[in-house]
Amino acid sequence: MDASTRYASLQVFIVDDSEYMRRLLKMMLRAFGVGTIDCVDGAQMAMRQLRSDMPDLLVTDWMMGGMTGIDLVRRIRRGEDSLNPFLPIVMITGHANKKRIAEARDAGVNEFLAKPVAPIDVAGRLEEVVQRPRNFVRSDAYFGPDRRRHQIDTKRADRRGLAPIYTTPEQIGAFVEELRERMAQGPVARIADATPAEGELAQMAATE
Amino acid sequence: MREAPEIQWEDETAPRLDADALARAAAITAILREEYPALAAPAVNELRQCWTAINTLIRHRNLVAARDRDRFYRLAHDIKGHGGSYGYPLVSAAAASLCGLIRARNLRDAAVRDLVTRHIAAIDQLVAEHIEGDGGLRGRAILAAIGLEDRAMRIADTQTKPAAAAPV
Repeated sequence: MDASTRYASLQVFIVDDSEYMRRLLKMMLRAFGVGTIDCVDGAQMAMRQLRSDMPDLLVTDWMMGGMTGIDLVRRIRRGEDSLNPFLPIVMITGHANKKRIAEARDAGVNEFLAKPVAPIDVAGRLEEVVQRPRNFVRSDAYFGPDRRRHQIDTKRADRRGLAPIYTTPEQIGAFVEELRERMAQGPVARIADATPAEGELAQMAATE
Repeated sequence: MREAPEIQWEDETAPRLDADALARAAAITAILREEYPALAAPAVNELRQCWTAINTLIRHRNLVAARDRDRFYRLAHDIKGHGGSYGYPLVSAAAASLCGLIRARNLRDAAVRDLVTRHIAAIDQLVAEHIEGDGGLRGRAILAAIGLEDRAMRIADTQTKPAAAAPV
């Protein structure tokens, strides 16, 4: 499948308070064949829009007036009002230092784009998100795409709980309910329930 | 809380794009560069007007309203953000320097005000004269006038190398 048709059925949602950046990103995504592109100028507006829309990818700026992009990511991933915690997210920022990248990653961002944004970088992130989706990981402290990019040889068991990839609205809705129930429980109960590998986490909970 | 894995700075997993995607990217870059001056002119104008208002207040009452300063910073920050993305890195460099002045320096100081005014004039010139990419000698001269010649040299250097984007 060539680049002009690969993303034809894709719906991308752009959140940026700069009209110039919205225009730029829209133009780039359109040129790469993305079928539907919607834009809003703020994170609050994005949350409202996400109640009725189910985009395939969200591209957000970090620094915006009012609610920031990183707050938006956290709310989508772990917020009680989030309807799609699995939504792939690309974060854009002009301050691409190591601390910020780590913060974005730990908030559950899939990909990170530093300004200036070049078309080739946008194409690369699009390709990465669409062609090679990462499994989602849930633990007591983190929910989001698997943060490990590399396979590392280790003698220890993999202690991450891998969430299956849900595709239907019913599956996603059921998982959101499950997340809410987990969040309503106490911290010990959450640890005991957090898909332990070889009983390690359950042991930790029992000793607390 | 369990430690997250170390950030990998070398992206072994960087996607390989096909020739069609690369050609599209190059075409988009050319279009963006062409249309930027017309697009950016209103933003530069708004920046200048905002500064005129701040300057007037300083001259008459020797004060800077926090709201005006925030708006001024926001306008400069926006230009910093989009200049480079549209292929005008010198515009971004001048705007970034202006952001630093607005945040860290006393705008009531006459020397700082003069420097701010020259920054706005430099941004205006870069946009009006379509000084894209590394800007050549003209671009370097404009940045040198606001003390950013080194920055212009670094931009010229990076323009010849592909930028590496850090993965998450």
